[in-house]
Amino acid sequence: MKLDFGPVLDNLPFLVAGLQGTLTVSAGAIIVGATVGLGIALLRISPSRPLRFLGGLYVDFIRSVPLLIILVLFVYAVPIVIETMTGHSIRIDALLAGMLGLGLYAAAFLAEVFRSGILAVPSGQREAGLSTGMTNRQVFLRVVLPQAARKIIPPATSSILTLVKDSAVTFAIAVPELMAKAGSLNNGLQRPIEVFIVVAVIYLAVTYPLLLISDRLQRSAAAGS
Amino acid sequence: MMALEGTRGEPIVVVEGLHKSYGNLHVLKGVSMTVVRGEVVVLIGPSGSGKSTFLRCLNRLIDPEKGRIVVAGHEMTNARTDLPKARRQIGLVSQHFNLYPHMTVLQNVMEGPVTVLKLPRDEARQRAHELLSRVGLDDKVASYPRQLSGGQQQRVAIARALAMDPAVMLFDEPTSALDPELTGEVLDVMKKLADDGMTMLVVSHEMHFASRVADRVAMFDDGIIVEEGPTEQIFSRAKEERTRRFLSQLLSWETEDGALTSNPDDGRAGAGSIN
Amino acid sequence: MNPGAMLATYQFDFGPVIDGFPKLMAGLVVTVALAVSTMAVSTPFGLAFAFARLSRIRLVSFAAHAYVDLFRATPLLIQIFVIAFGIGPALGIKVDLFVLGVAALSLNVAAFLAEIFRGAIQSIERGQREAAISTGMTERQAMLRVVLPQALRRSIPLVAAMWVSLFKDTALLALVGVSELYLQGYLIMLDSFRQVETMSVVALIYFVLTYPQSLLIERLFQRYRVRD
Repeated sequence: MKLDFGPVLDNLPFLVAGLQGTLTVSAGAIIVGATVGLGIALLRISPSRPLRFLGGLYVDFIRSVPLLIILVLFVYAVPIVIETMTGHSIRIDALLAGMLGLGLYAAAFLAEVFRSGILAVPSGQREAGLSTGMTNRQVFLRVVLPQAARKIIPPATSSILTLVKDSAVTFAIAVPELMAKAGSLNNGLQRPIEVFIVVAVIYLAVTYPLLLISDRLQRSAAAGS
Repeated sequence: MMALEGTRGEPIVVVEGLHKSYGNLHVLKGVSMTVVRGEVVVLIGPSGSGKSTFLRCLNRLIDPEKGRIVVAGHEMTNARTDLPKARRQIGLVSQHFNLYPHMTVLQNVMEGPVTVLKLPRDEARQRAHELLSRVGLDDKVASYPRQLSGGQQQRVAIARALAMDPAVMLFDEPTSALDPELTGEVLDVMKKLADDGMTMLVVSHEMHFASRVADRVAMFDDGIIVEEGPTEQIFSRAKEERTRRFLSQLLSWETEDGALTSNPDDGRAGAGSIN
Repeated sequence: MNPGAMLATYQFDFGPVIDGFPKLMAGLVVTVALAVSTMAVSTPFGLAFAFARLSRIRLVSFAAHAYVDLFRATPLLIQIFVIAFGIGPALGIKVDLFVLGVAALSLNVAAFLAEIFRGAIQSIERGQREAAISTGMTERQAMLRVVLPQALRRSIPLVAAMWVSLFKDTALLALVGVSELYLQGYLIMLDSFRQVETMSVVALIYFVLTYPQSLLIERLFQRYRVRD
C-alpha cells in the first residue's frame, strides 16, 4: 500500500474548519471547567462538612468515570432533568453540550489543582491578613489567591492540554470538531492513515506549544520549590 | 507615636476564664489576665503550655470555648462583634513573619491601610515610608521579602502591624526563628516601641529583653497561668517551684556574655502551632 | 414518536440494563484484560524510552524525546484510529481488535510512563550516584543497584495514577469496536432506548471499580511523598 496525502491535503480547509470547532469547544470547556472547578475547590475547603462532602463526591465521581460516559450521560440525562423540573422539552445544541460536558468533566480535575494550590499557601498568610483586619473575602482575594495562582498555573496548563486533547472525544456526541471532520473525510476517502496523520499534525499545531509551555512551567516550579 | 491617647493605667485587655481544647487536648484551662494601657507583659512557659493559643484567642484567630475577652473596648467573645474591625486594633507579629511574598516591602505595609482602612494610596504610602524608617528599613521599600534577612523581615512585619494604628501589639516568639545575631535588631525595635508607650503582650524567652523591657511576666504551664508578677520579682524570687525550675533551665543556656538568646522551645511555637 | 412527549412522562426503567447485566460483566472482563495487558506491555517500553531519553547518544535521546512528546501531545483517540483503521488493516493479516487496542494504548501509556520514570531518575540526588561510583561500582551498577530502585519507588504514585487513567481510557476502544464495558452498555442502550438508566449503571460500575483505586493512590502519594 502506498501513502498518498494528496486527497487529504485537498480537503485541508474542511479539516481546518474542524480545528475551529475544536478550539471553540475547548475554549468553552475551559471557561466552564475553571469556573465550576474553582467553585468545587472552595466547597472542598469550606468549613462546612456537608459542603466538603458534596465537593468531594463530585470530584471523586467524575474522576472515576470515563469522559465518554460523562458526555453521553450528559446529552441524554440533562434534557430529562430539565424536562422534569420545568415541564419544557429542550434541545441542547451539540456544541453547547460538548462545552458543558467536557467543562464539567475537566472541572473535577481543575478543582483538585485549585484546591492543592490554595492549600499550599501557608496558614500564617491567612493569619497575617486577618490580623490586619481583613475580612475572609479580602484575605482570600488579596493574600491567598495571588500566591495560590503561582502554584496553580503549571498544573492548570497541563490540565488545559489534556482538555484540548480530550475534546477529540466530543465527536462521539456529534460536536462538529476536528475528529468528527476527520471521520467523515475518511468515510469519503478511505485513507485512514493519511487522514489521521494529517489531523494529528493539525492537533500538534495547538497542543505541542501547550506541551512545551506546560513542561517548562512544571520544571521551573520544581526548581523553585 | 499614634494610638496612645487615653490614660496610662486604664485596662485595655481583660480576659476572664478562658478555655480552649483541641479534641481531648485541653490547651487553656481557665486563663484570666488584665493588661493596662502602656504595659508590657512577657509570657513565658514550656512548649505546649498554651501561650501562643492564648495570644491567638485575643484577636480571635482561635475561637475559645469559654471565657470573656475584651480588647480596646471590643468584646471579642461576643458573637455580634465585628471581628475584622476589632482586629485593626490588635497587631500580631508571629514567629514566621508571614510577610506577603507576592508584594514588595512597601506594599506589605500599605496593604492593610489601603484595603481595610480605605486610606488614599498617597497617604498610605507616606505612612508606610515613615513606619519603615522607624524600623530602619526605608532603604528596602522596593525589595521583596525573600530578598531580606529574617531580622529585616520581622521588622517589616512589625511595621505592617503598626500601620493599622493598633492599640495593642501581640508578639508570638518574634525572634525564635531568627539566627542569634539577628535577634538584637528586632528586640531593639520592640524596646523602642515599648518606650513609646505601646501596650504589648510578648511570648518570648529572651530573658534579657524581658528584664529590661517588661513590666510584668506571666508564667504559663499546662494551660493555666501558674504565676505572674513584676519582672524582677518573677526572675529573682519566684514563688512557684515550676517557675523556678523553668527559669533555671533557661538560665543554663545562658551564653557567656550574659545575653540570653537561646530558646528552649527550639524555635517551635507552643500549643498555638496546632492550628 | 415525539421525544418531547416521551420525556414529559419519563418513567425510569432499569429492566433492560438489569437483563443485560451478564453482557456488562463480559465487557468488564475485557476492560480489565485491556488495562492489565496494556500495563504489562507498556511498562518495560516506558522504562526503555526513559533510558533512551537519558542516553548520551544524541540521536537516541532525540528519537526517544520525539516519540514521547508526539504521543503526549496528540489525542489518544487519534492514535487509536491510526492503529485500528490504518496500521491494522495495512498489515494485511487480520489482526484481532483486542490486540490492536492493546497496541494503541500501550504506545500511548509507554510515552507517559517514560516521562514519569525519567523524571524520577533525574530526581534522585546526584550524591547517590557519586557515592556508588566512589565505592567502586561501574556506572551501570550505580544506575541499576542504587539510582533505579529509588527512582522506581519514587514513581509509584504517578504510575498508579497512570493506571487509573488507563483503566478509564480503555473505554475509547469502544469507538473502534472493541467489546469492552462501555460498548456493551452502548449496545444495550441502542436496543432499549434506556439511555440514562443504562449509562448511569455503566458509570456506576466504573465508579465502584475506579474509586477504591483512587483512594489507594492517595495513600501511596502520602506514603511515598518526596519532600520538595
